[in-house]
Amino acid sequence: MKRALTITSILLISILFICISVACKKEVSSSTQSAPQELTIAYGNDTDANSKNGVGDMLLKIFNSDRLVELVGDEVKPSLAESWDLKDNGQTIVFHLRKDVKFSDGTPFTADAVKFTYDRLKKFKLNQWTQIDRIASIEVNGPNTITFHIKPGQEGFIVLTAFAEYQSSIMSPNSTDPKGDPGAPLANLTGTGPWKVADYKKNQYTEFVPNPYYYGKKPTLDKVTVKYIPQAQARVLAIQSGSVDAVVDYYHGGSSYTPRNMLKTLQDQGFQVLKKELPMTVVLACNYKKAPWNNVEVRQGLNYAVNKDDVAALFDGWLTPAKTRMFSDLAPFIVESGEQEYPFNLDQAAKMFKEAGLTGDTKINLMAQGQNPDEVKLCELIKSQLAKTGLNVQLDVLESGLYSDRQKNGDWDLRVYYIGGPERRKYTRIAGRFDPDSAEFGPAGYFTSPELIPSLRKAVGSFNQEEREENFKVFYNKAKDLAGGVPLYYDAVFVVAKQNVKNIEYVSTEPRFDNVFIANK
Amino acid sequence: MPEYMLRRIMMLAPVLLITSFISYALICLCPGDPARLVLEAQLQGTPSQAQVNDFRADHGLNQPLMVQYVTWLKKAALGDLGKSLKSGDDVWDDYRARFVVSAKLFLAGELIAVLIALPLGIWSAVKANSIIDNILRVIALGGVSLPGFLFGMLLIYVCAVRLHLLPAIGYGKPANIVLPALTLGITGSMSLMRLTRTSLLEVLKLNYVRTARAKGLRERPVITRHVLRNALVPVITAIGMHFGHIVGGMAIIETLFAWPGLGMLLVDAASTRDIPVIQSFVLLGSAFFVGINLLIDLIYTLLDPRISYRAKEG
Repeated sequence: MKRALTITSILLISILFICISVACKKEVSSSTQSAPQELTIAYGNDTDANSKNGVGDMLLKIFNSDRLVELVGDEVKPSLAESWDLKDNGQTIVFHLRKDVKFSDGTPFTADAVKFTYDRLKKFKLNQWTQIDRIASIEVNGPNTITFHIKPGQEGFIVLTAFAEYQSSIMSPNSTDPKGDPGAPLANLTGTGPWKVADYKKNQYTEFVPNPYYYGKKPTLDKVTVKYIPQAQARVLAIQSGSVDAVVDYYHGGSSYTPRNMLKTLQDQGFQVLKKELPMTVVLACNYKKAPWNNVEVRQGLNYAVNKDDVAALFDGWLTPAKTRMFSDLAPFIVESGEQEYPFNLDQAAKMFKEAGLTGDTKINLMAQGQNPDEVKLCELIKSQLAKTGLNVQLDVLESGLYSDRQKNGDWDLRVYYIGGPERRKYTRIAGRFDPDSAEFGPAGYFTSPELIPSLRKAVGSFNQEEREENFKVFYNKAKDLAGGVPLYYDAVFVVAKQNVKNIEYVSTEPRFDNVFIANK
Repeated sequence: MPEYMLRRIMMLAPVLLITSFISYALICLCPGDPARLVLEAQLQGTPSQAQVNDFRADHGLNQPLMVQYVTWLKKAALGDLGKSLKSGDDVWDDYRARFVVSAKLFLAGELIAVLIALPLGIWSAVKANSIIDNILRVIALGGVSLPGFLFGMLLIYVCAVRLHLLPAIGYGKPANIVLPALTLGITGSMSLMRLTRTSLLEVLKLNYVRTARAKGLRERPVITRHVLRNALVPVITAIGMHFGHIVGGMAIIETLFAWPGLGMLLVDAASTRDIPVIQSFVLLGSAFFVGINLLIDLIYTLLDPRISYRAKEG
């Protein structure tokens, strides 16, 4: 008996030892080779590089592709299109494409590729933020010229900004299998960006290597591996253990991020913590179509009732409370619009609620998505803050399906939501959240009122920058008066990286790794 | 025996029919519109009503429940499990690929579990009520009470974060399997160890064991030749039941270690109500369970010749 036990124990220990030796041997051998500059990133989403019915994740598009234009500040700047002509008050947009650009497979970038990309967007009805539903037809006029005809009445600056959208990133017709079929699955995503996909394993990793045909400055690293790690805590453990060099939040913001309450710990452990605020605000939305939220004074009272400093403290101060403006400084003309403030004032809030007839007996539900612990935590805080004004709020933590059903059916009073988005979406997102005629508004709308619409449409639609500025000022101030909901804090995209990862940069709100190098590896 | 096997295999058809219908009905009846949830995940935003309507029409989700179910069933009967609503991937191809990934982890974990549980369970039973037995029982009780997820985090923290011995997450390299397999193996071994001990203690009390000892047989042959064969029957059943973990039962461990197996697929499919994927899980999972049970029944006959599946006469 003892012998059997001894043999089993030796066997077990041997298996463990072999496994550990294999692991250690691999790590040692990789560190002693002449160091190729490689970076491994943990990311909470799969890049979907072989998408059957889409165009892939945002990170993939930023690494792999370029767009016709870029939205920089409040101006549209050339990218793959070196210039464009606006005709018929913007109903026709003629893009003149760069002639010196090649795809990562060496084939030339032409207008046919642009047409192919937009055909794919149309095929899969990807009109969210691409505004393709506003496009009537596309005409290839030559290898380097392409014309977009916009539906009458749908033209505007917002349409031009949408050519900078992630999903509008241009791909080669060789990307699909069979080649040239815009409805076929992506098999070999080929773009013009600084990186090309060298290997992709669904739900595991995406390997990028420099695009040898890139027309701009070549990336400094030899390889970037983006590992898909869905669990937030596991991403933190991955960087702490050295399995990855950096952890990147979802490029869009708002989900798949490093837990804010872990950032200080990681910083104390010697990791770099980089932050870029987005023109995106997490808000307390109210169901303004039904009582009592259809009463502007109740909504204003709600704004007085929430202590935003406490909200920011919930995330260890890493996020800026939305105390003075609806959006952070990156939103269009927000700084020029002055401050739109509701100071924290419990007495004022209680008085307004009382005048509106709200008492402790009024049933108010606040719904939160159970799969997002931060949202639940935030809702618990809001519930306790509103209780101080005498409101009796019931917190419903719901599974995603039930949440979606209740939202669709209007069976809710309050919920946490977000307005705005990453910089390249800031125009389309503002329209999508406030304009009921935009393709995205439907169930994704935040708040609307006839008083907001004229200024909003001119603000996002006018090709004249001064007119946009004037109308944004009017829009922001009207939105403050109407108090659609309560701006809570400005969201941000964080990168946590080892100290030896140098030169991580943000271009607009997106982390870029094109000039990164690894020191002392 | 062949008759018994045939009978069991024939019973598979009603089992699959009933379970698949129940699961189809449950997906459709529970809150959450599959079209909306899938589109939300696909578009990474909220879909418009027109998009939702188009999606329903494209995938037949606007038809009555029975029509949807029968359409799915007809295709499944012909071996076509359909395509994932979310990713558009062929469900069978995806399932097969991930089954292999999960099976690797499960087999490694189960091997560790058996290597730990059997010797320690036997030792504990043989030394019943000794200090060693008490220590092992406390460890087993603690192990059963500790959630696998938490134990996995602890292992990552110690082996990967503090000691830098093993990679914390990932798939593809031999070293990647060590921590998830240890998590599964050690947590799984605790209940198995308790079962082995209990089962062995019961058999040790039987008359034939006393007789064997009275005849002067030494303790080792008594345990290995006479006690173990009988005592292992419930243990084999438990190990067999563990095989069910391959088809989605390791979701939390797989998510924690970014192990791209069936568990991760199931979690994703359940959150988006991806009907073809969930249905395939139910269908293939049920068939797998029935198959495993049949296999266990056959192993019983090898362990205990008294067990027979011959049809009753008269």
